[in-house]
Amino acid sequence: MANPYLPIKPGRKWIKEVIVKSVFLFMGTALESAARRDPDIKKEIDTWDNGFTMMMNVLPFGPYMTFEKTAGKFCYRGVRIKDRKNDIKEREVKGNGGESGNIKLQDIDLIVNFKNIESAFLALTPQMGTPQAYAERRLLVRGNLARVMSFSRCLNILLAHLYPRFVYASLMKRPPRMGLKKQLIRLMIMTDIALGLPGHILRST
Amino acid sequence: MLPSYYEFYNSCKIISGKKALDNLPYELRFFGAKRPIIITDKGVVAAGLVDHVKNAFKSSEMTIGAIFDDVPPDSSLKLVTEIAAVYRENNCDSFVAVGGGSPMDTAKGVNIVISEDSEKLSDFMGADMLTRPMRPFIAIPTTSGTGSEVTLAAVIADTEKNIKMPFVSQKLIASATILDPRMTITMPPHITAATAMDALTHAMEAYTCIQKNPMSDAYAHAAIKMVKEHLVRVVKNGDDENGRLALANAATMAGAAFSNSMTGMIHSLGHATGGVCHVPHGVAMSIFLPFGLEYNMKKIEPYLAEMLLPFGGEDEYVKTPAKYRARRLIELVRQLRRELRDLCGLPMTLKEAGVSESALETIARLSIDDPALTFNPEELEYEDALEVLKQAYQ
Repeated sequence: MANPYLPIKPGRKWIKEVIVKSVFLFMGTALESAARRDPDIKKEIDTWDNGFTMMMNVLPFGPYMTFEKTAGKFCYRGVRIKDRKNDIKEREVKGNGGESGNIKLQDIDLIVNFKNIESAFLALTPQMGTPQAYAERRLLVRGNLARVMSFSRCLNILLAHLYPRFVYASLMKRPPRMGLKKQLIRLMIMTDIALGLPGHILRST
Repeated sequence: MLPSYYEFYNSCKIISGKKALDNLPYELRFFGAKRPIIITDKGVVAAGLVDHVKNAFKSSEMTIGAIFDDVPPDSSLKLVTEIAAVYRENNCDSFVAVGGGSPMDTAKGVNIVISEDSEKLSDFMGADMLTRPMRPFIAIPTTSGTGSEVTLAAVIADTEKNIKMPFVSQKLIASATILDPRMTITMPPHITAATAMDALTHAMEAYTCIQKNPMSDAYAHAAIKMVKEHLVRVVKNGDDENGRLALANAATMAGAAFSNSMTGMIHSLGHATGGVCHVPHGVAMSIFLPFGLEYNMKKIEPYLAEMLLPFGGEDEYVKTPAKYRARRLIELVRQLRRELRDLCGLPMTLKEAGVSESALETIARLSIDDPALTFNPEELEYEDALEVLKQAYQ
């Protein structure tokens, strides 16, 4: 008699993966612009070493994005994984036309890992703030934890640029003040996103 | 209140009581070990505490693989490599750490490189980077404060790069911990007070920070009660074995609580003050505790009010009107600090602890980059940190 208990290959949550991938692309483009436009984010990034690389990743082999600080600028690098099945430590991440070329995963200074696609979806859509995501252990950090504090402050400011107050205020312990100057910066960031996003999309496909 | 989501983990067997240390060989055998390396420091040896450990091995058919007794107050990468070489050369198969936080963290660091069969500890820096089962590790605390025996973290300094490397994994929790009053009885009053204030801070931050949960609350509640009941008595009479054991238990319970619900701004400020001005951690905790609770008051008032029950006792809790309980708790914490200063000279201000006023800005800058701040209920920006530091200065 044939074994009725056959192995099951679970499917994929394609829609959530595509949404998370899109948010990474949108957020990456926005952060690159905000790092130039917003003095508070710039002040944070100025304290990071040149050549500093970081990655946001969904475990085990979900969507991800990388950044690099090069020549004093914070650049969104996008990603292209050569061999997804290789050990995560060994896989190579290729930059999308950035000045510094390839980035090897084991050389990335800071990696923020989401434990699974649901956690990433919650944090990135954004239904949950960074502190809450840490408190619920939906995020894991590999590398220098002090740097992740600085990155979290940047993300908070970025959220305030990207979303209306009623969205971001509920995600933070103390929402940043968005005066007239910040509103102008927000406008410039939105323009940068509109101009920069198509290029990033083309390079990532 | 039940959080919408939480995780809790504590795999450490607790062996507590008089002559508990004599169970050490039995426990090691239970974990399949026969040849442990003992990791400790000179102070522990000088106090004669390693002799108790050696005596516990007599008639046990075990071999002490090596005794490494040169751990400095801050563990380092170089030291971990050195001890790993001794471990391999002497064919050791397990770890016994005897001391405070530094020997414990060192043992955890050596266990990582041995168990992961690696020479490069830095490859495992960060959260959940360990993949293989760790070697058996028995922790024997000689202070009642750090709770390292039940925490999932270790901090090792890379002195060449001048950074502190954090390692976080549930695999780092000791296999078992032995709380024997003989191991803490020689602690002088001011160290007893400082380390117990560290334990109290662990418990109070665990009870109020954003990762709190019903399990960590239970540990924290019991730890607060035990510290309050026994601390002053033990500082007055160091030979009080029951009191010593209670404080050791309190520190372990507080460790289990904060390992799961984390700490907040009091620890961020304390880490930064220790890093810049070398103020002992327990002293810094004692100084910052009331200021941290006060700063977070708006967000945590109900929790502070609840803590009055274990800290102030039933009578105090009942006679204080509900709306004044949080304030009363902070008053009682301040009262305890005054009592400890009078009894053993435990500093109450940064000035008394020898911190220079010119260092406050550097401390504030460092404190906002401390990861513990993530779990603090209230946001703490540079200006806020500086303000708290100024308040705590004198």
